[in-house]
Amino acid sequence: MQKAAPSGSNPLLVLLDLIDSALLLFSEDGHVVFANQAAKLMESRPSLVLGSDPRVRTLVGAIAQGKSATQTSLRVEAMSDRGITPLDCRFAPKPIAGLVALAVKEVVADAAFEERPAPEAAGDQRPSLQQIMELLRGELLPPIQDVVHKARAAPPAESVPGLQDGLAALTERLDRMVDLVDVFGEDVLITDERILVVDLVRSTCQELAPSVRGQRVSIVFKGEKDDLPPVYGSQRMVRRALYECLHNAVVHARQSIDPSLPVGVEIGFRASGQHLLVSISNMGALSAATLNQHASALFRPALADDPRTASAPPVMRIGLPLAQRILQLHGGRLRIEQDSAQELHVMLELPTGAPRRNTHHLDMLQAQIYAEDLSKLLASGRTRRPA
Amino acid sequence: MTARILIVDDQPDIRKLIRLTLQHLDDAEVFEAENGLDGWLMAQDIKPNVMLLDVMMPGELDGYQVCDKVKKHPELGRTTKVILLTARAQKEDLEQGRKVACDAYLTKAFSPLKLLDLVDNMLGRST
Repeated sequence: MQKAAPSGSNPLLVLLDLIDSALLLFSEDGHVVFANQAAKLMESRPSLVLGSDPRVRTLVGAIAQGKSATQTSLRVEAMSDRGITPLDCRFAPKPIAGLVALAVKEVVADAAFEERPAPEAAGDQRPSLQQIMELLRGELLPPIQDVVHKARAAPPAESVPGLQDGLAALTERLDRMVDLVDVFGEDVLITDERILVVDLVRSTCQELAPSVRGQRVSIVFKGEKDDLPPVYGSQRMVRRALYECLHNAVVHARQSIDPSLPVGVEIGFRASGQHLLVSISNMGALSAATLNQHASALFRPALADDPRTASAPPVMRIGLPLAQRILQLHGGRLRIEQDSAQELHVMLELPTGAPRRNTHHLDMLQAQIYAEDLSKLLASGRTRRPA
Repeated sequence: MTARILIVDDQPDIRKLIRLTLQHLDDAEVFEAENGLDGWLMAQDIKPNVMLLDVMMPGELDGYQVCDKVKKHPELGRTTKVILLTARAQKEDLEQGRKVACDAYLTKAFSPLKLLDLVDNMLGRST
């Protein structure tokens, strides 16, 4: 290994020293020529280990010659005082001024457990998404297989053309979903869309409009404000959870009440610290006076002949356990309290703002662009003066 | 006159890199905040000429909301230019930026040269 250069007064190296992630720069023959402070502080001594690893050298050579377009990451095991430490290595895909940059991160088993506790260790009994996919498959496959069996057994005149093929395709798709989650983990289903929850609740209520109208349920909104914080995640999944909760509330509101009387469901919104709370409560039977009192806050669905609702396909129910899990995957939770036969309160709690990020890769790319452009800036001796 | 520039981003690496870049500006004082709420409170206090505001931040206020508050503020709305920083620039993101009246949009990972030009432009300085 060549002796790694000190950062000294070289502004590019000072810049790399400022970065919290461990970074190494390799010459094209695979020698480490620079290790930033974060890399020097690592117990596994990556500059020593990686500089002598033949796989790293091969990959560095390929990147330096512009030959490695696909593989830019690998895992290397290093010996340290703590025993064998796996190192996750991620290379910049292109050389910078003839040097190959590498971000390296120790994978510590204990730390990994701290970040994502095993359900048993944390006393957390939440099902993993994989288990939920299995649950879905368990729920859906038997009736599908039953129908397939009956379709096969039915006389030809009664069989529906394409039914077996359609069901087989559906079964295959379910299997693929399970595989997808197996390979990529839960994150594959969680996106970072910006969700305005009030708007989402309103559009979900619109989906429920036929049921709401049919059961003479009035929905009253409370606490709607323009400045309620957004939440980030999968709009589609949060909508499904909301649909489940609202559907339950509408059905429950109607129970045990004279069908001739209108009943109400109140949906409240409140920001509390770094959480947004959506409460769904049963208001019981509503008198005309109460309805008048809430007139301005009543949800008024679009008309039945509105093309948006007329052609909407029926929404598949997912059940409260899945709704709960969706909220948990977004860092929130679902609470259901029942005071009496009629008093049902559902509270959806979601963290506001974007999830805390681990954008190691983005930082690397950003650092690379900065390094390239700062070099140009310094080389040109560019100065800036106020006008 | 010394320009006041406020960086609001939850990623310390990005704040450091931006600060390093802004050292190339003359007569500029740089402030930092690590979340939207702190950024909004600091903005009211220091009345920055330019805010570099990350869009996706954890906590009570994201970048769009802070921008909205700044632009609706009777004084800051007139004096503070807002550059939104985002990791993505899809149509709906740009549309949202326009809704909250941001002055410019910069997509991560961005070039420091472009950042300097943009800040100079916001400050009414020529490069």
